[in-house]
Amino acid sequence: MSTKKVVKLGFLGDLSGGNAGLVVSAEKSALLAIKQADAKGDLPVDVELEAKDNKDGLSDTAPALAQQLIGDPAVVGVIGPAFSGETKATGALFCQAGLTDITQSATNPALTTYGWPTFFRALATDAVQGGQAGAYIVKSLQKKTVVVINDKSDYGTGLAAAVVKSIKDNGGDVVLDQGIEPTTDYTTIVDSVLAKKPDVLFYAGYDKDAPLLAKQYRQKGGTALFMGGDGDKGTNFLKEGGQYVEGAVLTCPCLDPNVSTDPAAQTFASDYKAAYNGEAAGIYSAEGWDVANIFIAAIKAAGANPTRKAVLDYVASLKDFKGLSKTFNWSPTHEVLGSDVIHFYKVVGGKYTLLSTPTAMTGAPSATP
Amino acid sequence: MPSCLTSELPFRIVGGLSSGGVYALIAIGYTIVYGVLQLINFAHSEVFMSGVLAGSLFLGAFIPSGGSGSPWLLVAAVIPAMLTSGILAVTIERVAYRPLRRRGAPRLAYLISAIGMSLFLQYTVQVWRGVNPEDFPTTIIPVAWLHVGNVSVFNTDVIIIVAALVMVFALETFVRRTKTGRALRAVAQDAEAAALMGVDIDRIIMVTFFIGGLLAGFAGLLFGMNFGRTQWNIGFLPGIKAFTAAVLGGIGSIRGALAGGLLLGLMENVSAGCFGTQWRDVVAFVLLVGVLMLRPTGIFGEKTG
Repeated sequence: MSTKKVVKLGFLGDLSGGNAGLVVSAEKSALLAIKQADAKGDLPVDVELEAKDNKDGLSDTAPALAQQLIGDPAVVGVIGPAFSGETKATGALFCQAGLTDITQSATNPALTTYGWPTFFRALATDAVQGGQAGAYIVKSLQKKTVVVINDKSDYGTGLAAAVVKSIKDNGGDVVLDQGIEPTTDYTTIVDSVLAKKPDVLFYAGYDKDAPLLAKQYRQKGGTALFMGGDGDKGTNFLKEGGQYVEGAVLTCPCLDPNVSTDPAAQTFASDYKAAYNGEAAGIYSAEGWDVANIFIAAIKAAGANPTRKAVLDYVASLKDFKGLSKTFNWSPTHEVLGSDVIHFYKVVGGKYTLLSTPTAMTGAPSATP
Repeated sequence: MPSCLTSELPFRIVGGLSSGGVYALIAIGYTIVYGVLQLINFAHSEVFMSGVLAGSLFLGAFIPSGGSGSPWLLVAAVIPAMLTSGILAVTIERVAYRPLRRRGAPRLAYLISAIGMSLFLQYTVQVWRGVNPEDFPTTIIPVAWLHVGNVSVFNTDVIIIVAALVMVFALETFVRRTKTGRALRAVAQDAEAAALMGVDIDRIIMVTFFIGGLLAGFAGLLFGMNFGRTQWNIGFLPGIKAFTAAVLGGIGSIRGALAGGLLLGLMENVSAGCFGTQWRDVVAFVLLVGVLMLRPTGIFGEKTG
């Protein structure tokens, strides 16, 4: 038994509900990061993960769980919350308690505008993603006419608006910009898209719906390039989409370590597989691992008795922290900076492949789907 | 003229009729049950869902995941899909409605019982099959059969429209020409008098639910074929739309259900073209209210058979 002080990292997110698939792999990655750090033997304290399951990511159940983390004096940092709604609901509480929270997956742009000095975001927002997606379509792919469809969710409408704005700013033409609630029968919207004959069909929504739209559109003879955002990038997109999503391009503020050519990411992917019975690292794994490692570095720097204040100071002054998903530098509002914050994935042979990191805002990526 | 009424119109009509055909088949289940019992069977959307699921499970036994199978398999799947839905509908009647009828329960009790049954079935399937959607195995790959101008008419659309019309015609014939059909009409007109004439009311009610179930199962199979997915809550939206179609056409009337279903499908698809998809349901329900203001009993009025 170790006599070192026990320090805890909180984790807050949907671990068992409908969107658990977007959260669990980040939690597992955080756990893996802690185990790996522990195995190195140079930690001044014992680090434990204190995961709180906010089932279905609901905003109204999150504050109570946040209070539990705040109330535990051993907790010095929080990984998450996973989604934007719960992050919005808990940010002020963490701020009051001086407890640092770094989200690995909440992408609503407004979150960093509330002025919480304790809140950081380890990935790019929907606005940045939409901006790069639009620039990519018009500048890199030289496609002119685009149909943008959203699923009427907060996420979908926000991302779609950013994509539409960027396409227009870059000189492209949005021939149809519409919302449709997730359904099974996409006949009406498919007919509308077919009538417009666009070069690109962009769907801002989730991966339970995107493949169905792609399928019904392709089956009716649609030929436009199918694109989508991070919400579409899940296993169901490939599984249900099958041949109909072949060639589709998805943007994501996430790095998929399984398809990355970066050696560090590849090591992580195989470590994850080894640790979890061959299960592949999922979405936001790399970001969850990065956030855990930022906290671990903060704890190490603070020595044998890390306080919340010491952790916050360390995180706030982070410079060029080399993570898997990106090199971390914060903007004044605690957003990640840099050109490597959005990644482009193309479906090839039923698998995601990473397109060479396009710096769409500054220059054109070379890959042409 | 906006393009939704000119160049887009023909293929919007085809798509609309194809959606409407499915609404019509489900709507018949609402309408004939209402005809004999003056009851809206809100669990009918789950009868439909069971048809999609049965079809999917049957096809899944023959077709590997992600692959596609012979169209004949789809024809064979008609039997399990229709029977499952038919039997489920009869079971719902036995479990949720007949005991209430025996005790002379008030209308409200039926409504609550129906909603309870609907939720029970949805969540049973959710626990059994999981929350996530499952693939409905592919049997018919959509191919454009006809090109008229810029309009492509797909085989799936034609199959749905023709199958729906054939089914409605067969049902009409059954209700008009057979002895059971006559008994059904008699119960709908005046249950007490029919009972005095020797009609076994419980049996006729059972037959009514069974027929409604058969058609819903058939609709489920067409729906699965067309949209390639099954899920625990898949019955909800088509169920609501079909109920609307039944009221629009005149609840209690079989032809009304057909007309209401097709009209609703058409209006949805054409209005989506003119005003955008977000207005689809608004237009559909404005249409419903409009028709009911002019004809409170729906297009075909309240009559049976």
